[in-house]
Amino acid sequence: MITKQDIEKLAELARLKLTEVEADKMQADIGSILTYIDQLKEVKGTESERTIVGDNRNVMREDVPSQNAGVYTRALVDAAPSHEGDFIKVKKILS
Amino acid sequence: MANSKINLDTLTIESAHEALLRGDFTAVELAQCYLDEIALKNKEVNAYLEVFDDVLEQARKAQTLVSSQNMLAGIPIAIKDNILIKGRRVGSASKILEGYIASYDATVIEKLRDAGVVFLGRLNMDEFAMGGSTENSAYGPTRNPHDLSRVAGGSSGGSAAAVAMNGALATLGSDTGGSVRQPASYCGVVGLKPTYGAISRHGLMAMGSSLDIVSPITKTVRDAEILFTAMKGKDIYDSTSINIVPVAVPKKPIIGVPRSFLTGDGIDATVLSVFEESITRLKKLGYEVRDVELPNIKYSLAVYYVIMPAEASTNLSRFDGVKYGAKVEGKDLAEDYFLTRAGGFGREVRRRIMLGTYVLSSGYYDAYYNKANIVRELIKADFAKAFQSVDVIVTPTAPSPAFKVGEKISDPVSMYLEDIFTVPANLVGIPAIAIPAGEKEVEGKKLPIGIQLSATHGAEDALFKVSRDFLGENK
Repeated sequence: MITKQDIEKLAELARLKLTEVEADKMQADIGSILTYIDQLKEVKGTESERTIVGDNRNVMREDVPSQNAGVYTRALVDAAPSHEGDFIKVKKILS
Repeated sequence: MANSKINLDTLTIESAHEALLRGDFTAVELAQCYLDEIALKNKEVNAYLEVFDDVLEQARKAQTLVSSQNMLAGIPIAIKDNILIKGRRVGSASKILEGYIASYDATVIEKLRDAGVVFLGRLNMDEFAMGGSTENSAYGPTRNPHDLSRVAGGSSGGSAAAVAMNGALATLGSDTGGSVRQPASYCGVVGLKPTYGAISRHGLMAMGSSLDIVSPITKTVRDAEILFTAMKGKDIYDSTSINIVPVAVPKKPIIGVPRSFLTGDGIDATVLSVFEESITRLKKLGYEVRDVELPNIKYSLAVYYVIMPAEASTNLSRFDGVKYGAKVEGKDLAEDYFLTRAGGFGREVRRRIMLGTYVLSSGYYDAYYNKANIVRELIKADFAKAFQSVDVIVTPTAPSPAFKVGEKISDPVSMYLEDIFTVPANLVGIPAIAIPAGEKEVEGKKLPIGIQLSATHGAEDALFKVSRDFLGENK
């Protein structure tokens, strides 16, 4: 069973702030979903079953830009909530 | 104001194209007709989040592209709110993308614009395509045009409702686990989920990257085929896209029915009787029907609710208040993330992010994510085997007709079960189409019920043939 501590840890990892009430509801919801998912445990099957693959795997390409430099710079920088000139602004992370 | 030259009830892409060619009406008149209809009905249905302000201008340009070579010129189409059109608002019906303007065109948008399509507006959806009822939209639920007290389905509820209310000739949605087929079924229209990779995902906001595909919703099978043909093809901006090699259609495709999958409780009795009538109809049309065994298909939904949240929680880590949309300021960068994501994501999105984080976390990875991938392969193998003896597999599209707004919102697992028949096609990557098959009368309202046809990778043509036969479109 998933515990309240698990929920708090997951919220931390997922960068989500949950209120006390939200965390309780989340614990109940995730618990019931995990109970449903647990039926997978009854399936026998091992790593060796993973032999069938789709048509498409390991698509390789040269590591080169697919567009001309600068075409989207303005639009992408402008999309950022905080920006200045050609830069996206973030808070200082080193003290 | 109604235009007496245009009957939206019977209009299809094909017939509109012919009328535009003959000059029966112009692209501007056609677009105006849809704008009038939207103005009349959208307040109640809430299919559109935005109607674009330059529709008539687009239509004037499109008129010049009308030719016998160009089936889509002047055709008014609306777009789910998770597909990017450069310079326009787009937001996956989420508060976290409040104010975001698309920086580029999705590949499908580029293709349709080049063909002269007129974009009417953007359509409501469950936030980030997570849900089966469009109740998870930050902008209120979309209601079913057949009964306004009921949901339109989801996540592409706006896309299905817009077609059903005559608010667009066709629409685009996206399908990750049934998000186009289930609402199409609830609204009595056609929804096609193509072979995985057949249509580029470039410019479609990602949910489950190994499952997602752009999918058309239309009034006829022929229209779905027209849009599919216009949008398909390998794209350098999506390395998972492919040029599918169409599988030749047998003269009389053999129909398979997975009987043991249709015995679970929770399937509405009318859904089952419509299904049996549909099988009888196919037999009368001369199709041979065989039983098929898909022993692991019953695990599809459990597999899906591991893989999809795992991929979604990864994809949604990009929404952090730094790169796009809304931002809530905290005391440091980490707090910016926490506050922005807490305020921006709705309940279902947070639930799936948490679930995805859980199944990917160390200690649980093997038990959930790895195991789900193994079972996914077993399901693929089941389908591969079944398609050795049949060409098309038929099931209901959804286990029930449209439910009431609010009926399932507090019970996530019961909502998830609405996808039980649609999820397998996404896990396996095969094409599937939802078509109307009957209805159930409840409280004086006729609620549509659909069936779903699926076929092997690249066998869309078999789906089109059998579906057209079934609906009598060939006549």
